[in-house]
Amino acid sequence: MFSFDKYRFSSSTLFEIVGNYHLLVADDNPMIYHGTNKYGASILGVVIEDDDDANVLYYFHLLLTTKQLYEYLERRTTLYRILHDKQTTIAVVMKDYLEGILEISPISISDIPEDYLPFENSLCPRYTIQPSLSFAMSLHGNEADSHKVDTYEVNEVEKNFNEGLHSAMAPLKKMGVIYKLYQQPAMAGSFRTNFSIELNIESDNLFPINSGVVSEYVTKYLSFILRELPTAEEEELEQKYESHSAHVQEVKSLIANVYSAAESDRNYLPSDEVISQSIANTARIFESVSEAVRNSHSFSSLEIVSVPKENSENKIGLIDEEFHERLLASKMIYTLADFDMAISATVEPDDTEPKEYRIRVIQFNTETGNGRADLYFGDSEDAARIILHVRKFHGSLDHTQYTYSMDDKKVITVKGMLSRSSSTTTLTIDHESIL
Amino acid sequence: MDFSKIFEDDLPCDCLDKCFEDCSTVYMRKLNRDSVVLKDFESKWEKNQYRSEEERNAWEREIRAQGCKRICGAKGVSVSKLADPAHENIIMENIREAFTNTRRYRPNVAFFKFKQGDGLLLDKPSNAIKYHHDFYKSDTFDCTQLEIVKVIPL
Repeated sequence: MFSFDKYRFSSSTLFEIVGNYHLLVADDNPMIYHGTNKYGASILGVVIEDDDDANVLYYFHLLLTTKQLYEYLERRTTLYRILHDKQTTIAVVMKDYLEGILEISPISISDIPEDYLPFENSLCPRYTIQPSLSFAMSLHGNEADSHKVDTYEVNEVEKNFNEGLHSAMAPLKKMGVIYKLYQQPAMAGSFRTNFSIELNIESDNLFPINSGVVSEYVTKYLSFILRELPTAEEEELEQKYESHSAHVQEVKSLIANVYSAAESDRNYLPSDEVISQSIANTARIFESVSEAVRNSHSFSSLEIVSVPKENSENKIGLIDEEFHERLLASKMIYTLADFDMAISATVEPDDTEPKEYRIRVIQFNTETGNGRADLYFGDSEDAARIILHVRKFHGSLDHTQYTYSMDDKKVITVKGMLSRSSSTTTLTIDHESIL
Repeated sequence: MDFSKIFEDDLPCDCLDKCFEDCSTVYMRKLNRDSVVLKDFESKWEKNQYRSEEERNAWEREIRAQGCKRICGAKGVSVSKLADPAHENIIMENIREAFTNTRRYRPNVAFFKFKQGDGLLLDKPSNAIKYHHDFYKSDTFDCTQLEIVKVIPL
């Protein structure tokens, strides 16, 4: 092990995990885990070395912001980058094989030899979130940290979160699964609200329900909406967008498990399109949650955890202002099925001459004129995500209606031609033709 | 086979119930070195012996209080079963993903077969590791006599 003994402590409350311990990866020993110290700050623990001559294990304990921890858990950043982040405080923790802490030594990144650092591609390994029918949401930041929040604002997110859970259960409800959603009193001293789904396992259901498979379904479904879709790469999104995508099929197989566990007639299974639509509906509801977080003055983020058993929680997602942006940047909230339904009722498939459309620009490259926008149907608030192509004749497209629409999140009216291929719809506009 | 170390300490548990012997399938385990040494096959129960008497007794009391599942888990050594060659890719992919974060921790993987009389295995899948087994060493187990198929660096 490298030399790290400038400041050795037998105990340091800053780097010791005292609560919310959650093991992500292990063999005989914990390898990657997180938890909170006595001040409630997040700690990520990662094993460095097994010194079996001295019978000790060495770990990095990183003191992180909640945002940093989620960026790592959701594979948006690497351990390598977190270690080099100036916000990160690091300690080397020496433990025995039974997890007893022997020494804690705060160190700086410059004290760590290169070959003790993780690799540059050190994304958090994929891990399983334990299935549960109990969830909790906690408010963080701003006034919430001083134990007060605006009543209207908290009601708004609770209402939306409640709706999000109902929406996740909707495909099962349609098939005859009866349940009740309970909201439990917030814990004293924190802005945390607990929700639990209670299945009516007895006579009212059309078939016997196995709560294990339902919890697996609902936990994976929420995790898919909150973790995977907003962080997906563009190419993955192209696939997830489609109703026959692997993810839609995964949700379908989870629903199928509910029926097969009950030995029910699986002819009741919803179609790919219905599942795709359900994902879009739930995503829209969580978009409303993120909108409420964004507009709130009294808190800045909302954390969602599953609670598989008492005193144990699995982090599912953190909704903050950036979540909202990521959600908008992805096409997840408007599926192809949506688009097909809406557009077939409103416009011809391909325009032969420019027509007026209401759009809100989501992404825009002022040099190329390429981007993405939400296309609104007629005067309604229903929209579909489309590709935007603005043809310009000279110069850049800085300080135009497109950048105004994107920056100020405003709907603008433009004149352009809509064309569709099998998987995308493009609106082509000749610059200068804004109304 | 004798298992005096498994049954010492007046344990009220039959850890070997549902266990089986398997000398034909390849198993794997991560190693510190490029060869197998005694320490690679120490159970948590044995590793507890390196601690101070006070800590040792406190840990044992805690484990005993948690019942037979926990006690037997601490007496076994984790190995992964490679019943199908396709499993190797799945297991190695998981190991390599973690290894990008923990590059100095047990950087070798041994693939091996047990010999008759080495001990018994218990199928104990976890959420994360479907092919996980607990291995209970017999009194005559000698890790240097394992049939090593290969040891690969990560």
